[in-house]
Amino acid sequence: MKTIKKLNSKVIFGLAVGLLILYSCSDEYLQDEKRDGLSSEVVFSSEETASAAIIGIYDVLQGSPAEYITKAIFYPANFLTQDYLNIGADTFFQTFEIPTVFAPFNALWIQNYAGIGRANTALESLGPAIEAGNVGAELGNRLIGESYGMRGMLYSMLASNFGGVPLVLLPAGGDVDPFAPRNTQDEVFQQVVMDMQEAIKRLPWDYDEANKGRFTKGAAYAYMGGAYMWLGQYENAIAAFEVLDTHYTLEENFLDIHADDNKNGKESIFEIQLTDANGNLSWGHDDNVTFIQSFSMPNEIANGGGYSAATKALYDSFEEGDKRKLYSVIGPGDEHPDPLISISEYPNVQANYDSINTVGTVENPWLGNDGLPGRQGYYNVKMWRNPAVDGWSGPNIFGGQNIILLRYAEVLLSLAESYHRVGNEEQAMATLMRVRNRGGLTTQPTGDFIDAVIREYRHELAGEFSLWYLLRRTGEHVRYLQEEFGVTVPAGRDLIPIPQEQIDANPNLEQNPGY
Amino acid sequence: MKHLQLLTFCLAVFFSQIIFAQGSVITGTVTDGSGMPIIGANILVQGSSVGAATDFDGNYSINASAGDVLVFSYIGFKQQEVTVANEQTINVNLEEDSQSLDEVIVVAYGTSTKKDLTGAVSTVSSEELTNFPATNVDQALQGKSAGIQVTQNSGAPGAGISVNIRGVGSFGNVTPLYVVDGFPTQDISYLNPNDIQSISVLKDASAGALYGVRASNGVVIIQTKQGTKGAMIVSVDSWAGVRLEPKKIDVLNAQQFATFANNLGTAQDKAVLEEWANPGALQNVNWQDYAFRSGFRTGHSLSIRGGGEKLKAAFTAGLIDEEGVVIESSYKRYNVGMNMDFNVTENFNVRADLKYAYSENYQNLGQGYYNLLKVFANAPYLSDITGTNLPYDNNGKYGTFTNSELLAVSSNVIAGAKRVDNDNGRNVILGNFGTDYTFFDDFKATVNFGFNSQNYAGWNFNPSYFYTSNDNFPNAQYSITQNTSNEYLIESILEYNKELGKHKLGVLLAASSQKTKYKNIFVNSEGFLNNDIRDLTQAERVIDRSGTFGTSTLASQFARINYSYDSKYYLTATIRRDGNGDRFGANNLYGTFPALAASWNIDQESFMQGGLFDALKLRASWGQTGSFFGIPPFQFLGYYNGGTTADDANYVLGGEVVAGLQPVSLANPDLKWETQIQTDIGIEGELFNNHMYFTADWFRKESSDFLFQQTIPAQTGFTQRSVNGGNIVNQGLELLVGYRQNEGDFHWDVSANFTKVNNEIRELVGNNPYVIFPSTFAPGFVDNWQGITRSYEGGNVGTFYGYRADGIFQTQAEIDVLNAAAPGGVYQYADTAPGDRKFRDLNGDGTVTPDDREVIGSPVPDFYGGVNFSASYKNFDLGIDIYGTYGNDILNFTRVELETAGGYGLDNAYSNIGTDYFNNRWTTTNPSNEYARAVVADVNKNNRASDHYVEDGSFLRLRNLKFGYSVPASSVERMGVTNLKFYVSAQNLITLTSYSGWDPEIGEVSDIDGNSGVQTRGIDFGSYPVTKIFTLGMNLQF
Repeated sequence: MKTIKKLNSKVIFGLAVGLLILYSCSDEYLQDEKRDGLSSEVVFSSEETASAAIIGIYDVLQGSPAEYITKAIFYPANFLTQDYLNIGADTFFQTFEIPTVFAPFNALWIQNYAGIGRANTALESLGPAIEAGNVGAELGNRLIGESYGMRGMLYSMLASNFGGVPLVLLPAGGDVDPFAPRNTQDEVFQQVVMDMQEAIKRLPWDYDEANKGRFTKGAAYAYMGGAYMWLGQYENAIAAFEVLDTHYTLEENFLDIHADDNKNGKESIFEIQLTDANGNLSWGHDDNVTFIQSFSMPNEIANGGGYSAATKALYDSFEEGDKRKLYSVIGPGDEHPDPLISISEYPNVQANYDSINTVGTVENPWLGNDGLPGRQGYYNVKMWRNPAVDGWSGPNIFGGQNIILLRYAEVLLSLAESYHRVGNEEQAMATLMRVRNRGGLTTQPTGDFIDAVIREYRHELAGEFSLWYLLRRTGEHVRYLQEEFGVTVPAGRDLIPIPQEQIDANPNLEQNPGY
Repeated sequence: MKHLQLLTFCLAVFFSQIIFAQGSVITGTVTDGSGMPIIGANILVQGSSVGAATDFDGNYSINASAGDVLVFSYIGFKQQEVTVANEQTINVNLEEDSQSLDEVIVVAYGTSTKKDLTGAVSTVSSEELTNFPATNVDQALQGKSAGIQVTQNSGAPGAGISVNIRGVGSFGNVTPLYVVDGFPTQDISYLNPNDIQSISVLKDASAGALYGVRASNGVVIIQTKQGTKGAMIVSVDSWAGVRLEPKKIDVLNAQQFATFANNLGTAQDKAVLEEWANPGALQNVNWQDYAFRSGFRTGHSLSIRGGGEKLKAAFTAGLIDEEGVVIESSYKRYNVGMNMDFNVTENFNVRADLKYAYSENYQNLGQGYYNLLKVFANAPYLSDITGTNLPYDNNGKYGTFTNSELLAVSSNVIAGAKRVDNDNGRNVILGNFGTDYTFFDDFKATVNFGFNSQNYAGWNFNPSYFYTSNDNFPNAQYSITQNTSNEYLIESILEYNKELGKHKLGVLLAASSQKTKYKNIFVNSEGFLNNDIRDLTQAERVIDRSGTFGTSTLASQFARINYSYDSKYYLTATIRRDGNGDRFGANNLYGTFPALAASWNIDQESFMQGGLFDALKLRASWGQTGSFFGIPPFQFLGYYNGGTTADDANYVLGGEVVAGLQPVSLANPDLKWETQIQTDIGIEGELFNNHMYFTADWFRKESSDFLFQQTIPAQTGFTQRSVNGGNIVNQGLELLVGYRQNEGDFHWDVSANFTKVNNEIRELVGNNPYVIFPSTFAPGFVDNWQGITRSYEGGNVGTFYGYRADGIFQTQAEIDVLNAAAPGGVYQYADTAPGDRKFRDLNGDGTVTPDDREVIGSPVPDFYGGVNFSASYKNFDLGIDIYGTYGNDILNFTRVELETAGGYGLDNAYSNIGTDYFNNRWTTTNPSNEYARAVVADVNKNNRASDHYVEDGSFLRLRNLKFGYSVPASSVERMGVTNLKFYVSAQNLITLTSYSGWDPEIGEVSDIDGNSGVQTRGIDFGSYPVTKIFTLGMNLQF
């Protein structure tokens, strides 16, 4: 009996202690740790991690590379001009019947806003980080400048395509309304101007080799000038563009602009940085590559691909003597102008096309061997400069050629337009001629100056990212497409549709009236 | 049950000690229906505290006087009263009563009897569970109880099953909590149904509230087989059977397809393939013949149970090996288990359970858009480019399609499934060790320690090949996955039970803590010199990798008070406080969940004596429970990482890749657990001499702040965020009615259960009118099948969203009239032509736009239920289980594939169609008003998500039919066998449904991103079909 009592008291004591231990379970015991990432507090508490967060803003330009660069950026910029045709699944650009559910435009929205969100967080966090001494003032200021610049650039891209979009300027969470409606296009471009002003204060004109590709003061001026033009403030635009004069020059040789080994050249203002040095160019690739080249090359060479083809109309529209023609579009019987690329050396050409060195022949133009209708035998040279990419189905589908979003020649053309808008015709023509001269043309264009600017955009920037936005900005798109192609732009279809998925997620977003 | 036999025995011993010697000694034997002695039966002199219990031979002795009434009782048997005359010996044969009110029911942290229970609890016995040879425990629950909806997510062996108790109360996770031998877990797929003794489903809040923050979705308590006192029992269960191929859906054969495509393309001015001009030369391939097969399945279980005064033990072992009806799918599992009970001293017990399971699970041809669904879309023939024009031949060759973009599908999915080389295995070890110590007569202290250690390791090799530019895989890929988790549980429980006259009091105080440590590694690599290499070091590069670790902690305290008076009035109050360390921020670490329940055994009242009812009980309960399963951990924190290899946060500067960081989640520091308040009123009883029994429950479950990942506008920089989402009310009615009779050799029992749940969303986060789910069944280019589910305030969870079809345009004039009235001159599309589907302009603006979509169906059934019948006559027995749902819809994407002659998002490609569609489609001579014309380019988007593809998903299924024969004891006894039984069973033998797809049982199918849950219910994107199963089995006991 005694032993039992003893045991009892022992057990009870043990239990009591056991229970107590459990009851006293502290918050510390409870707090689980997460180690597969860094919290936002940690990210902005050191220079290394804060810098990495800024890299994350640039990274949105590489997101889902197939969709974004090719389908979200290149498609609207070029298919709507009718100088380039979609071959295959997305031919609706030819009739301006873009489905509101077209997934790449949802990607455009998502990626750009992801970048804007990352910039917003950085802008909110960097100031305190500098004050706390966690990030040095010099670096911190530059990072702030880059964040402003990238935010403005991303907004500019959104507004030129969609029109007005919601202006989100603070990090998500807290009191920020995630269901905010659209702002006007003007409000967005005003914000671009303000962001670029902030960027200009903080950014350098140039970076050392290891930092090439970051947003520069020059990019900020250029995008600010562009925004002013959208706002119709041409004097301001001129002021912004003129600053660039001593910092950028045109490449002497037009062919060098897009050369694969001339990344971030002297004419380049902002380009999407890519690399294929890491090897994998197949479907298992990382996101530092794009398949825009496979879309641009003939189907006959890549044994697939060739889904964004140039038109004969574009090819034929170049003036006699325009050196830019074969550096921009080649057609039946033309050789590839890039010394790095020999058509005859592509395995598929050797196997099936008698090792010819031209994109098809006049007798047998290359219209694709996949049965898809629409190709006219012409191909975009600018996006086909990387010798590593040789196939659609082989191991080298994707490539790391940089994508130049904005270069000095476009700035000059915009400057020329601005001079014209404010009545300074002499400067306007002189500036325009700088661009024409480099292209090997010495005659001054005649007729309406805006038409001349459009023509220069078309031939200087063919297959790049600008003509459509000039047309839309100037309101000339309806007349131009009617005259050049006999294509009627349905009312309101100069804007691409707000992605249905976004309207579904945010009923406060109103669809563009044309849809 | 046997476990409790002991308890009863102990109790009886206890009673026998307080017997006052009085009258004369009466002895006798208590036996069961088959004449076997009953050990531990109770004998009580009515109206006194004099009692006794039978010994191991069923013998008893008790002091009683003439005129006394002896009450004989034993769990599972009907109570019998015998008035003592002058005899000295009274032998009693107790009649079995499987549904007796004294049936012991396992509840949260303890046991109760049906009579004493205050909450809504359904039980399933081991007999019911093993009534048909199920692979998983969940499967066996289907149709057994009211209020529990069990749906197979897939017909694949070993596949997941969705168990949903009393309606969908969240947009997040609705899986119940499982408690296996006291160990709370969310996964029981590794358990062998044969090892299970009993299952209790705690449905109302009061029954489950002791599990606090994990109990909102209901709690399923599983008790595995324990050792028994007395004779050693060895039983062997073996079965073997076959799953039959699913029904085939007719599609065009090669010749029909070629002719059809050729005519179609020519008529619509589209390119056609040359080979179609000569259909006779094509070798027909019916892809369904190659995708499906009959699958052999077999299972064996062994259990040895026995024990004595000091030790009782059970050993179980099992093996299940099943082939799926889809090629390259199989499931294999081995189980070993040991349960031991040590009676160390009179007051001191130690319990030790250990279970081990190993399983392998393969499914190379998956469900969904890229896999199973392709058997409809594939052209019904192959080229002979690879040396065979069959999906595969006996020489290991795989056929490929003609190399042309004119074929919408260009790779041979069957070859894809067969080419893969893979291996995987999962180990699960579950252990529970408990000690309990009884002291001061009324107190009991228990300490439990449990652990659950799981390890999954697998690899997958996809060889390289090159057939054509449209069908190739240039770089072989090799991936390795390894996940481990180690979880432990410690509980201390102090109980006090006291009986004072008619008052009974039970108090429980406890604390527990549970912690999981997990680690994951995944590496995918590519580029191998040879397809025989299985070595990461020889890969050219790693293309994807992940690997991390973490912990998840729960620390809790809880208490319960049971009080009853005179076996008439019962009251239960519980409370639990849970602290959780990985879901909620510092403000919301702890949640407290109280519950209250009362019951009244009306039949015990004097005014009920001699009435219609043998038993009648009224129950009422109210309680709060919680849930945190709906969101991933750590969503209260904003987090950054480097992304995945394929979509990293890195950028290129100066030509070099520079590491970057990207935010991966939008912090929601205010996140807190879901709270559910449930009220339940139930009535249950038995009448007509216990022949008829019934249970009826009304409940109302209000789930507020339910957790889920909300799709948010991307303008925030994020596409989703974990939120407390709003308020859902599930209100319903559950009914169970049964009748049983034992007449001589004929025993039968039939019961029907019925559940009606009214699911209504009352409020949504941010006062949004609706919420969309991020479910992606089809890739982005299938652009008119995105955003197909929405949940509206005032509506059901996960309703289908789309256009309203309004017949087929018969004439151009009809289109012209609508176009003329449309503001932009176009009602639907510019190229809409006769034969295209007309959609309704719901908002009346003259054109059909995405604004003209609405809710077009709901996966929530109006009601569901089952009928279970079992009967035995002499050596024969029969079991029938019927299960059905009514009023739920299915959104049938498979029909889209059958009705699409072109390719998705392609202007000039062809895919195969169904024969039904081919015969009934609109043509100038067949003015169908339901099936649109066949087109190469779907210019009118006839195949968009619309109510044309919504079908009634109601079905009634003969879930199980079992016929058994027990070899007469006399002929097996000589071999030392106590029981030998053979049976045949058939599952899913008859399914009554109007659904046109493979099978109407569509659970929560994973989408192409692997998401599944309430948002993916009732959507048939090529589900792995549930098919008929025939099994032959044997039970042997000695």
